[in-house]
Amino acid sequence: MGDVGQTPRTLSGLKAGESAVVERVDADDLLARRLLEIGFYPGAKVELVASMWPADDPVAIRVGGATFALRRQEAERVKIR
Amino acid sequence: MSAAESRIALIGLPNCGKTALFNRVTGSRQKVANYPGVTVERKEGYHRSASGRRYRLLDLPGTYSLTPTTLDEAITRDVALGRLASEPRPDTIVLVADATHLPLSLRLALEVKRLGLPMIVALNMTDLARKRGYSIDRERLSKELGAPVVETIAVARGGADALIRYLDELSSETTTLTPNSEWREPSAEDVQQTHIEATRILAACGYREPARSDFMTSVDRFLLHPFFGLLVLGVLLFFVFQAVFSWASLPMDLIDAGVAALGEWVRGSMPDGPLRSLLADGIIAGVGSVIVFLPQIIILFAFILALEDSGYLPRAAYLLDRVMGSVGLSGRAFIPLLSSFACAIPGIMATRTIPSVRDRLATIMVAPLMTCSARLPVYALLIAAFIPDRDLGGFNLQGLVLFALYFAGVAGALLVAWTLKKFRGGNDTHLLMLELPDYQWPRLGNLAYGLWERARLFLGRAGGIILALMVVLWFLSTYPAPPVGATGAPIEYSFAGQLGRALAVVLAPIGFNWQISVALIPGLAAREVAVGALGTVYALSGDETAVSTALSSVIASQWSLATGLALLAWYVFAPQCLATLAVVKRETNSWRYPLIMTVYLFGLAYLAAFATYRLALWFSVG
Amino acid sequence: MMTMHHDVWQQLIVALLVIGSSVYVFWTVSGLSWRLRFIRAAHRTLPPLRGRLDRLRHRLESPPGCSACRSCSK
Repeated sequence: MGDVGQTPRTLSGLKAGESAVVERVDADDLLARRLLEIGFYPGAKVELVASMWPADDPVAIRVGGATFALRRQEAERVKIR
Repeated sequence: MSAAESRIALIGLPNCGKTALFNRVTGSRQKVANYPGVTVERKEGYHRSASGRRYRLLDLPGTYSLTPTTLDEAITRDVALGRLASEPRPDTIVLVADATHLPLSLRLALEVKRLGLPMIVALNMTDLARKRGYSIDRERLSKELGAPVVETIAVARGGADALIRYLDELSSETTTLTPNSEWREPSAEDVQQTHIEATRILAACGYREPARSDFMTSVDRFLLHPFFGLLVLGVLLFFVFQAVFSWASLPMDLIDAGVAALGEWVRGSMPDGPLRSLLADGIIAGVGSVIVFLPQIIILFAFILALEDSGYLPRAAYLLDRVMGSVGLSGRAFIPLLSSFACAIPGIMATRTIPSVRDRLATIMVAPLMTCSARLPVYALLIAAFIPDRDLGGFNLQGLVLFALYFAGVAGALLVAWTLKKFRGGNDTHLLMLELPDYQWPRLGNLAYGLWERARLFLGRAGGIILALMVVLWFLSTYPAPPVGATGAPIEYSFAGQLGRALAVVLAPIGFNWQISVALIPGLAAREVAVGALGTVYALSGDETAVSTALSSVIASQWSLATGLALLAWYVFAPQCLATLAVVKRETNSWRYPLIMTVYLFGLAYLAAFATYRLALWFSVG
Repeated sequence: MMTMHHDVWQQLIVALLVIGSSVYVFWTVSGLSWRLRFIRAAHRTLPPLRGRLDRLRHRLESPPGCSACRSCSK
C-alpha cells in the first residue's frame, strides 16, 4: 500500500489497451472466489481490451491467456497496481 | 456392476472441447436425459475399447472450479463427490484441458486431484496450440500432477486413441485409490494457492504459452468498440435477414412448383372420394405449404451456426449487456435468449446457466418473445403475400419487414423484462462474468452437420406432428358434409367452419376472418402448422383453379392489408406453442409461471393485433 | 358399382388415418400424467396389448437415464 490516503485502483479504472497487475480481490464470497478462479489472482497480468460507453460497463479484460467480460460491479472487486 | 465396465466422468472448463471429445469417444452411442429432480442435462455415452472393456462416459457440465455458482456446476461437483444418490461415483475422472488455454485448466486439475479419484489429464486442441507455438514437457507435467497426461484432438478422426489406450491401462491396474471423503469447499486462499502451484508447475515443465496474434486483439478492439462494435452487430443481423429472403426465393419456388405438381397428379390419377381429398387438400396442400420454408430456415441457421462457431456470440452478449442490464436481465441471459431464436424450448432450458433464480425466471418469461424458427414460415407467408418485393434505398423491402418483426419481438421482450423488474422492485446485482473465447474459423463439417440436424428436425416435424394435425384438421374441415342444397363452400358447414365462426366473434375486432381463426387452433401444437392449416382451409373452400396457385397469392387476394398486418403483429406475441408452456411448467416446477405467461402473451398479442389493424384501416381510409 | 367399391375402400383408409393421427396428436401434446391415464384406459379395454402397455408404462415411469432398464431382460 504505497500511496497513503489514495483508494486503490480497480479494473474498471483502466483505459483501453492499458495493462496492470492484480493486487488483490477483496473478501471471500462466491464472487471473489470465482474472480480468483478465472485468473484474477495477485500478481496476474491484466489488459483492458475494450470498455462500453458510458461508465465503462461492461469491460472486456484479457487475463492469463483468456478474455472475460465483466460488469462494473465485478470489475471493481479486483484491485490493481 | 460388472467388473469389465468402468465409469468415466469428463470434467473441464467451459469451451474446452469436452463435448467434442465425448462425441469422439462415444460416437452415436449416447443417451441424453435429465438428472432426477433437477433440470440439468445428463449426457451419457458408451465405448467398447479394442481390448473389449466397456466404458460408461459421463459428460459433466463445464466449470471453472468445484465451487458452483449455477445449477449445472453444482451437478459437476456432486457427481465428482458421489453425493448424488442416483449416480454412482465415477471410477476415473478425465480432466479435459484446453491446450490453448492451459493455466486455468491446470488449476482446475489441481482442485479435482484433491478428490482422490484416479485422474487422466487430456490435453485437448493440441493441434491448434502447437500451431501457435505452444510446447510443454508432457512427461514432467505427468510427474508433477501425479496423473497420466495424454494429448487429444477431439475434432480429428482417431484424436482420442491415446486417451482410450490410457484408460485401458489404468483400469487393468488393480490399484484402488481411496476417495478423499473429507473434501471441503476451497476458500479464496486455497484458490490462490492452486494458482501459485499451477504457475510453478507450468514453469517447471518449460511451458511455452501459445501466442495470440496481435491481430486478434486488434480485431477484438474493433468488434468490442462501443460504437463500431454495435454498428457491426447491427449490419450483420440486418444482412442475415436480407439473405434469408433474397437467397431463398429460387429453391422455394422450386419446392412450391413441385408441391403443386404433386397435388395435380394426385387429383388427376385418383377417383374422386374422401381419400383423394385427404391426400390432395389435407396432406399435400397442408404439409407442402410448411416444407416450402426449409430453404429459409437453412439459411438463417447457417448464419447462426457460423456465428456460434466463430466465437462471436459471447461478444454480442458483451455489446448488448448494457441494454440487458437496464431492463433487469442478467448478462448471462443473452445466450439463452439467442437460442430462443431457434426455438424457445432449448432457450428456456439454457437458462440453467443463470445463477440467480429471479434472473432465471425473468429470462424464462421473455424467452417466447424471441422469434423462433417455427414463426418464420408464418412471417414469410404473410410478407410474401402483403409486402411488395421491391427495393427501398438499395434494400429488399421484404427483408426489412422481417428484420422489423424480429426487432419487435426483442423490443417486446425488453419491455416485459423492464415491467417485471418494476413489479418485483429491489436492486439485484446481476452477474456477467462471461468468457470471450478466441476467434475461430467455423468448421465446414460442423456447420454441415448442424444444418443437417436442423433440416432433419424440421422435416421430422413436418412428417410427424404437422402431418398428423393436417389429417385431423382435414377431417374437421370436411365433416359433417353440407346439407343438400347448400350454397356456400362445404367447409363452411363443417366442425372447423363452425368453430372458426364462433372464434371469429372474438377475433373479428382485430381483423381475423373465420379461416384464420380455424388455423390458429392447430397452430397451438406447432406454430408453423398455422400456415399448413390455412393451406388446407383454402384448398377445401376454393375452386380447383384456386388450389393450384400458391397460398400466398390466395390470401393476398382475399384478405385486406390490415388483416395481414394484424396477423403478423399477433404472431410476434401469441403464445402459440403448447410445448413451450409445458417446458416452462417443468423448469419452474409450478403452474403459476406458464399461466402468467399464457395470459400476458395473449393479452399482448390481442392488443398488438388490435392496434395494428385499426391503424392500418385508418391509414388506408385516410 | 365400381365407384361405390372405391368409395368404401377410400372411406376405410381415411377413417384409419384420421383415428391414427388423432391418437398421435393427443399423445404428442399430452404430458406424462395424461399418457399414464391413457395407458390405464387402454389396459382395461385392450387386454391383448397388456404386455406392451406395461412395458411402455414402465419406460415412462422410470427415471430417465436409469441404467437398470437397459440391462433388464425385456
